[in-house]
Amino acid sequence: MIKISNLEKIYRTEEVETVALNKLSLEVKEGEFVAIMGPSGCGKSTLLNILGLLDDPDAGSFLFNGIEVAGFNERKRADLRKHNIGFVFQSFNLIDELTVYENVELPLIYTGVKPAERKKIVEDVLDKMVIMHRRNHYPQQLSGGQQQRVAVARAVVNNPKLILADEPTGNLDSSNGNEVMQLLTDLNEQGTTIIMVTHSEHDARYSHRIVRMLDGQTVMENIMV
Amino acid sequence: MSTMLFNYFKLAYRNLLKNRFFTFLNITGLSIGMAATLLIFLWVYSERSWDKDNEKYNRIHHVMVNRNFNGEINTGNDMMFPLSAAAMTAIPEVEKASVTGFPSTVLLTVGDKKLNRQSVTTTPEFLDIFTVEFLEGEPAGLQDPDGILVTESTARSLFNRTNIVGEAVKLNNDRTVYVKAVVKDLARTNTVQFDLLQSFNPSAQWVKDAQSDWVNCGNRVFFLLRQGADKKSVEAKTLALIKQKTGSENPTTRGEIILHPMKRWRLYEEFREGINTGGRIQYVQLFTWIAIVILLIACVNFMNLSTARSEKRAKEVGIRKTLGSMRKQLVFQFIAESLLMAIASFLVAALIVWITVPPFSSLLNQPIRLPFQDPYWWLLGGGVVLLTGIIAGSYPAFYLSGFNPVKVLKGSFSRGKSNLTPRKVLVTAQFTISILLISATLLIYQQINFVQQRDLGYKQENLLMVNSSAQLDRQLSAFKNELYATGWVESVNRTGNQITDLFGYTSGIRMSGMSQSDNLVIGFMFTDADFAKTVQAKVLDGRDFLASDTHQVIFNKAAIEVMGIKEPIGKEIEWAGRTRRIVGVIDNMVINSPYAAPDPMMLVQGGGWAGRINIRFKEGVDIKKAVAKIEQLHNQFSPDYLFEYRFIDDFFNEKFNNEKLVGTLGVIFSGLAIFVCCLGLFGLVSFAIERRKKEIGIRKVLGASVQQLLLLLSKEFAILIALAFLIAIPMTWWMMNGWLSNYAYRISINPLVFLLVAAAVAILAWITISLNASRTALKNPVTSLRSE
Repeated sequence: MIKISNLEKIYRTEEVETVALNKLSLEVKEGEFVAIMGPSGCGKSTLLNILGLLDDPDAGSFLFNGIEVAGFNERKRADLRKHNIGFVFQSFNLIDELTVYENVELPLIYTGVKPAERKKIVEDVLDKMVIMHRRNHYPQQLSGGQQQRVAVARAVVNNPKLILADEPTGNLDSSNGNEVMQLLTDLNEQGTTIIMVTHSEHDARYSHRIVRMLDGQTVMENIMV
Repeated sequence: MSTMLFNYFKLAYRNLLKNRFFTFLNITGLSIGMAATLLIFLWVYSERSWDKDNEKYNRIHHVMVNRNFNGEINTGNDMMFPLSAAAMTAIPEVEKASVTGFPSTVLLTVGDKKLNRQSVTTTPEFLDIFTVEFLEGEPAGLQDPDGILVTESTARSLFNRTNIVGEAVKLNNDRTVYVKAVVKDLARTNTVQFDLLQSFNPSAQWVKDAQSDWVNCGNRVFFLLRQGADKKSVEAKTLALIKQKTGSENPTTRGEIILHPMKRWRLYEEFREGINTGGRIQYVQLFTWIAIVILLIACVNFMNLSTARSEKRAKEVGIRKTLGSMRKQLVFQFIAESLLMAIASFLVAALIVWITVPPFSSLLNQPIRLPFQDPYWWLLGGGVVLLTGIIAGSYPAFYLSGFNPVKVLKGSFSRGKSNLTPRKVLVTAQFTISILLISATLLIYQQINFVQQRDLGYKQENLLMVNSSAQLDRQLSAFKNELYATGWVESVNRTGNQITDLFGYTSGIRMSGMSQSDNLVIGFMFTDADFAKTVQAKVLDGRDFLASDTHQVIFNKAAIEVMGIKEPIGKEIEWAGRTRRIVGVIDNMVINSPYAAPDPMMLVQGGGWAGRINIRFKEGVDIKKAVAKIEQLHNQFSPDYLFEYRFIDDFFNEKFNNEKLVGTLGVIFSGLAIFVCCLGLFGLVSFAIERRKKEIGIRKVLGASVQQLLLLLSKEFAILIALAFLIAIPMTWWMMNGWLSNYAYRISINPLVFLLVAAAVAILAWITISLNASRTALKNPVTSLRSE
């Protein structure tokens, strides 16, 4: 599903040049659950941003489902993104002014799904995530675990092929964290590819494979059994 | 206290420096607002300084009269000749009085040098009333009927020097007069202007006649009242004097005398139904308000932007309060910030004013001086700064200083709905005013356009007016033949004065069998053959004047209507001691005011001549070449006089000067208002993007396009602008209907105007909002969502 080779990303300020990704290559097959680990500043988030088509590499190739997307413009990337990729963030990134229902509905509005159909899909997902009873609440009124469940619901509402999770349990206590990890595992078992950045060895154990990064390169891969 | 104050300003300075974008938006808006205010105040200052060079400013009056013309009260500035002398003896409150002619152009000849200059004929008392500074000679010089008094620049143009007392000058190629005095040029801010003063010549027959003529009015009369004189009582005594001397009844004796004080000459020059209603003052006041409104819009920007970025200051306020700052001290701190902003803006505004005064001056067609030497002016400048600082700073100061430190520092501070409401009201008010100004300006232009395209009853294009002379009069038919021989001229005719003004009015037309209305007043103009043909007026009945006519008359439709004559052709009237036959009726011509209904008019065959020659060119003639040829012919037939000409359409267009000026000022100031509004909008949108950075980032990640995000951001403002429209439309409607009712010939307000303005403002607002699309928050969601 994803094949990147010799990917480079360099951040430049007036004085400093920081190499975030250094000729990195990685392949992720459909249905895989991959955890990416490494110390702060090793390039995990940069990689995730590029994988999520939020950012552009400076050099290298990025095949998404066999299509070269490295040179895509903003519009094409956005189009590909909203139909294929779901995001889960460490800080949930729910919109405070919108209710649970409205937050989950948002991706469907942007992909142009008709209102009646939207209602059905959103309710379905909320049901599945056991958050239906909170549908009219605002994010601040929920616990961290509940907020992340909403975020996951929002990530999957479009039925994406790929979910990118950036430290999904970073802001949660262990029981809420486990719950979210279980949710991701369930999704993976239903066929969704998941790439997750994490600091937690515990969380990483939910994955099939751990990719360890250092200074913008992959240094080791562990296959989980 | 002073260190505290210094501290406030130091902090304010740092804060302004730190938030450059905010500071830039505010200083731009405030300096534009202040510059507009200062320019308008300069204009007002200049308008209010008119005639003040006169030492007896408070005691000088122009004697005016309300007369009933066909049922309408008309206020005239003309009086009978003997009034001034009689008033000085009969009315004790009148210290001095002078009968003074209306200005006329005279030809001055010294050797080979010929000049046309504006001359005023008057009595020696003129110099006791008006302040004139003598450079050479004495005021007594005016007592000599052959003496003239000239201004410095006239003296220099004629002789290249000013010590010219005793020099001879030929007047109108007619009589020789002698310079008795040279006076300093009059300031342009004088209502009564002249290049040359001369006395009425007591040996001239018309002056001898005029001295006992209490009926005909053709001159101005000025009174200098004694200190403390009661104006009302002098008005009554003047009317009584006129009635006593006249002996019979006429519109003047049946009317009402008004002493129009000098201090109202410039700004309150208009009379409506006999009442001194105002005039230029209305424009002055209007634009004073507009300037203040622009400044207020700029102040509102400051308020909105200050409160919009309040979250950024909330923490600071929290810390200061925790450390023991009183609310009052915080209020002072924020006011200090806005004062500093106001001072900086004032400096920029002063620079803008300094640069724009010359073009502004030429736009207004009057000298605008920067009155540096006037302490009031500095006081005003200081007042503008102080007021701006306080008005702009007050609301943010109280708003920001009111934050609860506990909430703010715990991080649970969130902008509630409460701080949005006043801001919404202010934005709506700003746009309401801008929309009102733009719509009003558009309507003013529509009205001017509408009137300019009015069917005037004659054709102004290709119609040239040449000043005639006694010399030209004598050889008129030869001159005409030469004109026709060029092949460029279609028709030639003479009129007593320019056809764009009707100067003479009479109530003396009598007709047998016609019911005599006492108040029937009809304008008249002397002319000769081919009048209708030359000006291309439509002959409705009968015919145009022929060369063989002697005392025939032609009326316009309006005159026939007010007189109530059935089948007028061939009927006879009595006027000015003669029986005259009506030979034609022409369609109404718009002559005096392009905005008013056409006056009833009588064209009279004959006249004393040396008036104007009207020349109708054929279509497609090379005007430049034709004028050059006419000049050559003129100089051949009338070598002693200067060739002076005007195109009738240009001449007529000067009647629109006032309205055009208002229109131009309207465009400038409504443009500034909407610009300052958009500046504020730009700032608010930027802050909205800043505040909603995270939300925008999330939406972007979820697939929102830039357009969708812009729509999201502009929705809130779009509603406010729409609301502004709903308020502005009825206000504009009401206001402009009032303005339009001043004109008999006017547009009716077309709702399309508002649609047009709506579209324009919407586009402008959309552009303002879209300009923010370049901001990084919209471009890259990664930066706003980065959690590491």
